[in-house]
Amino acid sequence: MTYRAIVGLEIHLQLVTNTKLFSGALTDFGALPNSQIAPLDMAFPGSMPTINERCVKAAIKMANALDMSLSETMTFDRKNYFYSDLAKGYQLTQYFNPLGRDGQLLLTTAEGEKVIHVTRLHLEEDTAKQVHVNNETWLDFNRAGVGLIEIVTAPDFNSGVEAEQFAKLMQKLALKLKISTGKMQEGAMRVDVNVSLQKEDSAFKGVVVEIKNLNSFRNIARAVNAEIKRQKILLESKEALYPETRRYDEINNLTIFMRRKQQKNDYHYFPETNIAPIKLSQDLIDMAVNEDKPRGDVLADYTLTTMQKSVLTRNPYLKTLFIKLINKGLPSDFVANFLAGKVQAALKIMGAAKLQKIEEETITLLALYQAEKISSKQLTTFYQQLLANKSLNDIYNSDNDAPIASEQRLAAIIDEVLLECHEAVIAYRQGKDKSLNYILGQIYRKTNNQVDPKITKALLLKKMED
Amino acid sequence: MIDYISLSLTALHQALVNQEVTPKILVEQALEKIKADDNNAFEYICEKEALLFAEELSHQEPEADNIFWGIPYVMKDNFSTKDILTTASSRLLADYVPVFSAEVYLRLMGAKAIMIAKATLDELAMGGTGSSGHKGQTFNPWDKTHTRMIGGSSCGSAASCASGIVPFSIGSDTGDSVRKPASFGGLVGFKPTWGLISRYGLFPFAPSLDTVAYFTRNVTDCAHILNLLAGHDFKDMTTAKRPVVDYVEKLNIKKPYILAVVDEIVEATDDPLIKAVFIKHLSLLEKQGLVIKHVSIDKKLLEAVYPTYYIISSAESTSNNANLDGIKFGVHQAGESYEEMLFKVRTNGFSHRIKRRFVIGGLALLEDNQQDIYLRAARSRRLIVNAFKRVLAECDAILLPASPTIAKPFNETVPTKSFDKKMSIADNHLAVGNLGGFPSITLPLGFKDNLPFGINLTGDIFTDEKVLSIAKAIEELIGLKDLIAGVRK
Repeated sequence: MTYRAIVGLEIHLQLVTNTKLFSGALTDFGALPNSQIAPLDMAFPGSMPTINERCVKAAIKMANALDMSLSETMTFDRKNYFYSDLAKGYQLTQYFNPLGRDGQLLLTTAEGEKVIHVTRLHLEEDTAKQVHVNNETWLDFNRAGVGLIEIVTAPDFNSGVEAEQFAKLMQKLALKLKISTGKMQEGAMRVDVNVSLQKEDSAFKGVVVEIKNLNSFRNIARAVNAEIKRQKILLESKEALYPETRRYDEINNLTIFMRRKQQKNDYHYFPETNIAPIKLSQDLIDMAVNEDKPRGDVLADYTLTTMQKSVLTRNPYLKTLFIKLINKGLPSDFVANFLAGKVQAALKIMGAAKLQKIEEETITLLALYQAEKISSKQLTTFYQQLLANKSLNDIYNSDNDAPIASEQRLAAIIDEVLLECHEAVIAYRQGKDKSLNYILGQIYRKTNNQVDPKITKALLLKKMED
Repeated sequence: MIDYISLSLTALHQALVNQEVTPKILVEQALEKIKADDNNAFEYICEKEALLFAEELSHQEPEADNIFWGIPYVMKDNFSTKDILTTASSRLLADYVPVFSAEVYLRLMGAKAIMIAKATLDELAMGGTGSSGHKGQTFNPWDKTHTRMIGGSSCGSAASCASGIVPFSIGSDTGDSVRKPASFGGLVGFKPTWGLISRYGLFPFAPSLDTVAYFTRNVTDCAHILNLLAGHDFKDMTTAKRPVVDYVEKLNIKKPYILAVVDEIVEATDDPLIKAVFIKHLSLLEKQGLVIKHVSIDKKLLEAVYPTYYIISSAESTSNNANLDGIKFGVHQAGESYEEMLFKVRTNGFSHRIKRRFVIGGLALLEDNQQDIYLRAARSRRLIVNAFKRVLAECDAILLPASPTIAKPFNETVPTKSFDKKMSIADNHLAVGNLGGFPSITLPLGFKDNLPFGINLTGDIFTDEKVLSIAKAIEELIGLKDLIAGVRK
């Protein structure tokens, strides 16, 4: 009797994005345990998911590379089960409506080229990592909520080598698209295989056995071959085969029984209503597909300190505001500094909604400062007043310490300062430009910063030339 | 000393701006009342926090353009408040101190309103009697014999506003959890359109139905609160991105609005007095220039409201509360394995009623049952909502008695095994507001045996400003507002 092996793959790819799929927490590999967590990752009551667009784009890229049709709207479902590594008691996944369907990829095998059908591709979140220490289980929630895509193939492979080749091809593709490191040893790519044996020229369709968590390419081929061998022996000796889940024992090159599949797992799937269905716009799809070099982050284009960058990354609203302000032509270092300081402090206390309400006025305020219409001290106090529900117009008009407008008064102060800094004036005239700043500083100090810097400088220069 | 704290939000604001009273005095008055309260309305009294906040405000000028400045309020204990105990009235969360704050709480804090206490509720907001929290029954302040309920699940929020401890209190409404207690407490209870107020930080019971809702003692105060709380929040993806409306400004728009009355529901209202008072007011409204239109909705659909609500909310609740395992937070119980710990925590942590919900919800979601139970409820939901939408397409709002009875004594609320269809139609129609996400408001209509009962107005989604302005007109007509238990005017 000859048998034909039928093999299918389920591949999980961990997405390389700066933040998690739903929580906004960072995703650095190798960070201290439980240091990259947002309330949602620990399932604190009342926390809610928001979607990371980068993860969606990554999934679109892969679906596109696999020639899949994309669903028109993106929805998520809850897969409900209790397990210690699953904080919420359910995993957000796309059960009813996967992002991609019916794709294919050409695989070059020993027998020539072969079309591998890809049944589905969906987005889902990773679970926490369990670390077993002696008799205890420790949980690291850094991994909880990291974006994954799961890719399921049709049972189109006929050998372990083919399955291995396909997995390698997927890793290459992931690297080329820059959506995952595909490192199996780090768990960034996880492979399960389904193996069954069919008798040639017979109605016997075989019994599907799943081998879970293969951790290297080599082991994919070896595990499939070991399982084929096991099933063949059983079939030839007319012993019963059962649908079951097994794991691969590398040392003995055997697959080991884990559990029967007879008792179907019931995951109580139902739609997640905290995420309203999202239309996948053509813009988004084009953007994802045409993104030849994945810029890890929009912030990468600006020179920012690590602190500024982390503040902007951690607060999606600040990041949006940052981009808006940059687009208004304000310099990035000044904007980042202001956002990471005053605005972040206000965000913590009052929440983003409040800041959004005064967003227009905040932008105007910063523009005023940039145009040197107000001093840095005024920038700070005006912003505080904006936060206290005052309108910028009122603030500006009723400011007691309004810039010393009268040129006459300003001129008098400058004269005074020039007398006091006689030496600096001489130094400046001898070509020491820095002295000018010193003199300006003295004027600012004397006027408690309440002068228009532009006018002051012009006036000072005029006076020094006299 | 005048009892300032029992004034309405609008009146209190005036007193603060005129500097007749300070936030500190208001906080002290509220605290004194809370300490004297015998209705079991509170989980946690924020004495230290509130006094500190009031002290801070005493160094500031009262903000004439911010009605919330220095005003004490009460928050239902199922809103996450950073560093402040939040139990959801469940044994399982008896020691839970959140690490983050609900958007609603942050907005109120930003407006310098002072949270004075966390209010008790039916455990995890599941229940309508205000008796299933870990601290037992919450009493109706109108009933000094302490035999009647204020209703739930927002029982503590309702009781504290009805007793005049605070001018407003925040609750949540998944079936009628604010609008029913409002009827029993002589209050205005408003559940805005689903998606208008951020739910970020509200403990989820059934997210497709859950709505942030609240109590005031008049409609104007109610509009002021919506001005503060409504609006998009990026942390809650289901909040609508709509331009901000000034709900207070729109309150006084008077038009010949068309109000629908669903005859089957009025018919099912057994209490002759409540029915008569309701019908009398219909003709009074007509005299005011409003148009009353009697409409009919299939009784089968109306009877299906409660089972539909119960299946959907229970199914969603099983999943939303699966995070409560005592491992990451909450009351922990040691065990040899994860399964054993989970079993102990969830067996001891939840009351019987909650476990019943979870079992029913779990059954409804089993793959073999989904078609027959959960998906059938989802279809039924669509049919019910469509029937009401058809009415709302031709009318401005639907006007109905908020409850077929005054507040019931606790000993009458033992759940019966038989399902009284007629009773259910009159008693559970407010849940339609949640099934459809409609804005829905209850306001005082009358008294029976010195106990209040209410009237309810429900409009189509995102017509909140219209619902509020009609409510304002009805409030003026009925003439019952700023009611405080035990203080008859």
